[in-house]
Amino acid sequence: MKRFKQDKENNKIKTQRIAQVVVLMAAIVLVISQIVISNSFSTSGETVIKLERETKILEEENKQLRAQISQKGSLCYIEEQALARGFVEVNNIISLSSAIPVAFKP
Amino acid sequence: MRRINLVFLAFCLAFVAILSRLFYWQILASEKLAIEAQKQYGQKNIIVSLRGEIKASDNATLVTNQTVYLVYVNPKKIKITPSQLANQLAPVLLEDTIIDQESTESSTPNFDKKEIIEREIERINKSLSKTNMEWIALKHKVGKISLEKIKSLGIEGVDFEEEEKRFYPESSMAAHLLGFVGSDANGEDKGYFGLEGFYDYELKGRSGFTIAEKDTRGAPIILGGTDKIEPINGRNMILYLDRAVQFIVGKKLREAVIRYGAKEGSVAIMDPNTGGIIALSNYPSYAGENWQSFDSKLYKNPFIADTFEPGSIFKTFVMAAALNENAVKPETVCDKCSSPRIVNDFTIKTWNNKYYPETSMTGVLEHSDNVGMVFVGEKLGGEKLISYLQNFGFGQPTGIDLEEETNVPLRPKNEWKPIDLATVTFGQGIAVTGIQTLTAVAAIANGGKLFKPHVVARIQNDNGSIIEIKPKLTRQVIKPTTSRVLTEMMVNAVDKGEARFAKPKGYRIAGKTGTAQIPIAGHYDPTKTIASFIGFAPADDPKFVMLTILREPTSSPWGSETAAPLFFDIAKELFTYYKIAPEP
Repeated sequence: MKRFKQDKENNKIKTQRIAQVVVLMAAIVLVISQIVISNSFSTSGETVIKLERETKILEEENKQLRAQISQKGSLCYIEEQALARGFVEVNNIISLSSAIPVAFKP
Repeated sequence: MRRINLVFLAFCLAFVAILSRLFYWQILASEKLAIEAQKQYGQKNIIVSLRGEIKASDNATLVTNQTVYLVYVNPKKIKITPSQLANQLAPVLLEDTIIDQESTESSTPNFDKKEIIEREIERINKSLSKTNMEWIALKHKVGKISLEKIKSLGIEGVDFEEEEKRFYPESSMAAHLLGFVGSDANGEDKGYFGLEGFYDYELKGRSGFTIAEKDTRGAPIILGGTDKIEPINGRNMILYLDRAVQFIVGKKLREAVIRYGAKEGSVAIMDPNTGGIIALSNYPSYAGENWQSFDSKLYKNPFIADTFEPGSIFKTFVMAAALNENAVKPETVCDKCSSPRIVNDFTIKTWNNKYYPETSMTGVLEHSDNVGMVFVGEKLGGEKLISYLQNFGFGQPTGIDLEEETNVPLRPKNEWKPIDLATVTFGQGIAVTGIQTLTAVAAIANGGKLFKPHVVARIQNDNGSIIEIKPKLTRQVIKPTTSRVLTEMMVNAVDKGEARFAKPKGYRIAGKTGTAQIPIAGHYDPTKTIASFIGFAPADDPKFVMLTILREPTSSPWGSETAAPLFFDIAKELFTYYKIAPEP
């Protein structure tokens, strides 16, 4: 009975030690991870700035292209281009209407 | 022992001093110090909201945004003298203005390039004289080409930052309708006149910002704290305006003003079934892009901001009231139309001094008979006449969604004298705006329904959702049957009236000419007139209602010889555009 109690005590101490080691190991891993991640991210600021600049340039280009599309599609531009290419206004438009029903005729 | 006590006391005092200092830093000055610290490692970037676009009914852009630049200097970093800097920068900063002035016919006639450069040099010198400043703004809204030139000069201490500027792909089209964007007292963008003024709050949106921690080189620290408030861009406005119709109207109006030697002119077209403004043009006009180069008198929209005596076009509304009240019928005979009428010692004559005894009401409109209209007014009665004028919307603002609408209230009911009631029947002694008149004619065209005029048809939010603006019916003014009867009388007035020669063949157009004298200092100017024409077509199922106004035409004072041909000229183009074939 006494021996059984001692074994139980030993097992408890053993489990506690294992837990302590695991926690310690985990703490070490996390600390190392933090150092590694911080180090790797600390130089990413430059990359972020570069990407932000690129985004801004692309957005600006998009804006300019949209403005260009609007201008090239504007009626005053189209008229200017049409006149430059020799198009003239049509003044003799003929409308084709359906014939008057017989009953309407005098 | 005494020495120990002294040392202890010294320690206590030092402890209290440190504690007090810590208390000051941690409690009293904590907020201020936190802000100071934030300034050192935190970077705040304003994200400017984009001003909303304005689009035509086909979604084509009428107003959008363009990136421009604010050029500024840091006086402490400049290595050259202020006058050297001014001499180098002035011609480049003015490049856009010079190009605009040289390409715009209606701008300042005595444009002197050398003089404006000298003025600019003087202005820059004056700005740079404030030596205690860290930062001096030299010029806003500088274009990209000018900016590249400034950069190529390589002047130390000169820098720039981005701004937005309105860009108009259709150039000066519908300038009065759109308005323009200037600056308020704080230098912020603000819309003035037209849609930009009326919808300024909706168009401008709300700026956002980011605060991010930065390292010594200014790069953001990824693991640091970041705060971000997203900007809300301005709402886009989609109009009833048809840019093809607007283009036709602008072109024809410009030609007409020149052809008839008029001082100015206005044309507006409305959809009678919604109250939507399809086109609105005035000449002379200005360009929203470089509004500063134009006379400020041109900024307001005369069609909604100026009043005029309508003259004979007003006869249609009085006739509508009398027909609606069964006071007269188209075939009612005027038994007082054989000679001039005398009211309150004033003699009322017809415009051509010709009199038509036993004329019908159809004839009264056909001949634009002033004496006949006095007869109509008498049959209707003063009280009902005034009540109908109010119901047609005269004397009150229409509520159109444009900034500068004006209104002259009708005189109080007890102040109407018999002569006032007589002259108002043919459009004298009353001041109206173009938009009031157009809205009232639309009510005749659509069966008697008075709609609130509207320029914006839909509003598009930043997230893409659309808010439809439904047509707003103000009231039913006349019965549909009255509308049909009056339409026939107006068709007859066009077919047999003074302007019949200009009318496009094969179409039924309902209309009425008007020639109003201009009141000056208690009497009418004997030579100057305002010529106008109101009408709608096709008469049986109107697609458009139009009002043309020419102020002080010199080739002929009459509406039938100036404003009416302009109306028909535009109508011809619209029939083709809307694919409305003539009747065989």
